[in-house]
Amino acid sequence: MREPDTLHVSKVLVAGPVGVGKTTAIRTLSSVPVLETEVVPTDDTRHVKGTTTVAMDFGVLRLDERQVVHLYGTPGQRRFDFMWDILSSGGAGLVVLVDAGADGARPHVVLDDYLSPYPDLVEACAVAIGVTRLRSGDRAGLAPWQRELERRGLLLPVFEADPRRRRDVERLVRASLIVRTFHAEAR
Amino acid sequence: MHLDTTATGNSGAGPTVSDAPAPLGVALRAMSERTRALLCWHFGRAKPQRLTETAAHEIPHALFVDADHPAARTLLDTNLSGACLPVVLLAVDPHRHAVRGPIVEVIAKPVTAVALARVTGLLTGNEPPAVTEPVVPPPDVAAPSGIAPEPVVPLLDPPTNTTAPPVPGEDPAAPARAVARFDILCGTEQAIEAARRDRFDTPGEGTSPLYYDPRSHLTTRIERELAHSLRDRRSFAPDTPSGSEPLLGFGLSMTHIDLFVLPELDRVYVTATLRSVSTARRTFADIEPDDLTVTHYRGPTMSTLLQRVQALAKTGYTIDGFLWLAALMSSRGRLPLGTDTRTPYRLQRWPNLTRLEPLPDSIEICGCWAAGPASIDEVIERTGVHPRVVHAFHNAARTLGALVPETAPDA
Repeated sequence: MREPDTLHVSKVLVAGPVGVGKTTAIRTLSSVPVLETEVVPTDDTRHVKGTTTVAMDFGVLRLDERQVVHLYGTPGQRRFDFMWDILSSGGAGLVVLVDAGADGARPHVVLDDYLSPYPDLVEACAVAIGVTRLRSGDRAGLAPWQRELERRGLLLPVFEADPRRRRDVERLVRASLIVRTFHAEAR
Repeated sequence: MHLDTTATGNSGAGPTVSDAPAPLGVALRAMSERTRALLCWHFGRAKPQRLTETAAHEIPHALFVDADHPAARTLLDTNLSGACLPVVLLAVDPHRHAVRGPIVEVIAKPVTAVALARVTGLLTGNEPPAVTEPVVPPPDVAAPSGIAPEPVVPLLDPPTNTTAPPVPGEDPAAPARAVARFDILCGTEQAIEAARRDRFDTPGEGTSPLYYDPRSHLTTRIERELAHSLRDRRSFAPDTPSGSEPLLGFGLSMTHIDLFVLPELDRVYVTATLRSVSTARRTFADIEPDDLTVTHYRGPTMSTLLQRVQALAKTGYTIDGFLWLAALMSSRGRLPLGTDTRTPYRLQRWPNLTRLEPLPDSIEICGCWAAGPASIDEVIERTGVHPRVVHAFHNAARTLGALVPETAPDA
């Protein structure tokens, strides 16, 4: 009788600014009910959205028969950044979601904010950037993000993404894991 | 973390095709290429395969005929007066066709996997159908003369293995379309494999199974016109003598399709849908200079031109999106003449795969190139992806400027 294949579990973090769609992305991908820590905000975030993540979101993505990904959504607000350290332990990949409209003018700031807390993952090139809310008429497109990454000497996947579309978000998760694998092999 | 990028499929023991009897040869007549492709796909996916399309010189055991095809009537009459082979009719309205002859079954279109499995059972004598669709009209409808509902004698001994249960609710045409599209994107698997094995198939004059001449394809022509357009816009000065206006875009006219390229808006508009496999094949096949008419559009503002173009267009792409598609379809898994598969290439940036024609395993291929300069051969080896897909990706990414040859560092 054939031995059942080993199940490989990877941990991928989903990070990014407030209101960019991290919780939505995890809800889109997860095959189990998502564990959420949503509360009504009391700061300026209340002008952006009705609830915000204060600790983490957790969901499970089954990539194939042998690959399961545990998705951890980090809180977007800086004041909860202590959670970023806690959640990043043992992470195999990082998906950073950014807003083309709100963040497009300052990619250097946003990438500083959401890449610098995860130096190990950046070093391993286990990062994929998803640019949300990109309008069809937006001529700049992904270029500001690609330029900023190039300036930092990083060649990371940058894809347009709609957090509500499974294919878009899954592509980001896969990319973060695959790039890491090839980089590890190349070293 | 482990991510297996070289898995080649299920290695578990199981019945193989060689264990089963040879499939029954049937002829697919009086039907469109799409219907033919659909049926062939269904035949091929059964394990073991129990039906197959006969070659032109072989004698079939049965006929599959599309009753709605103009040639169907003549063909059925000829069959009746000649070989009198068992016939499986495909029809949108099975009750509309009063057909004489040895009809095994009438399948309502769109064809379903369930109906084909039932017919396969009837022809091969394996697994008589549990539920039969009426081969004659229901009692309240007048029976057309000549349709024979009697059971058909099996033509082959029953195979030892049973067919996998069909997937209910599946769009029967979708897999065939996907296969056809994959083939025109990435070429035919066997042809590319054979060409790569034969290392005498080196770049030379003309095209070959492994190499093609990019100069005779639409992609090169568009790239040339885009470069011209860019030069024109850079050199344009508003205070030039009267009569001179900026170049707003250009059109490429072929017999079956018109393309309008508006570089300033990053848009390509097309007057036919390229989701159609036949249109795509025709558009991205080899072209002679006379096959294409180029028109340059000049004017003071874009709005009028844009309105006219949008009124004619059926679909639109970004320029990168169109070039990517054009490069995939022009190459069909081959490489441009002069490409050395041992030359290392460097990935400049990741293409925005969200907005581009999907290509299987493109994340794996791109990830491999992102890890460092590598040749086409090395990427094939490291990723385990079929060469035709890597070739196709290489061509498309090079067209976008995302992949460039690695230059040797200066001494």
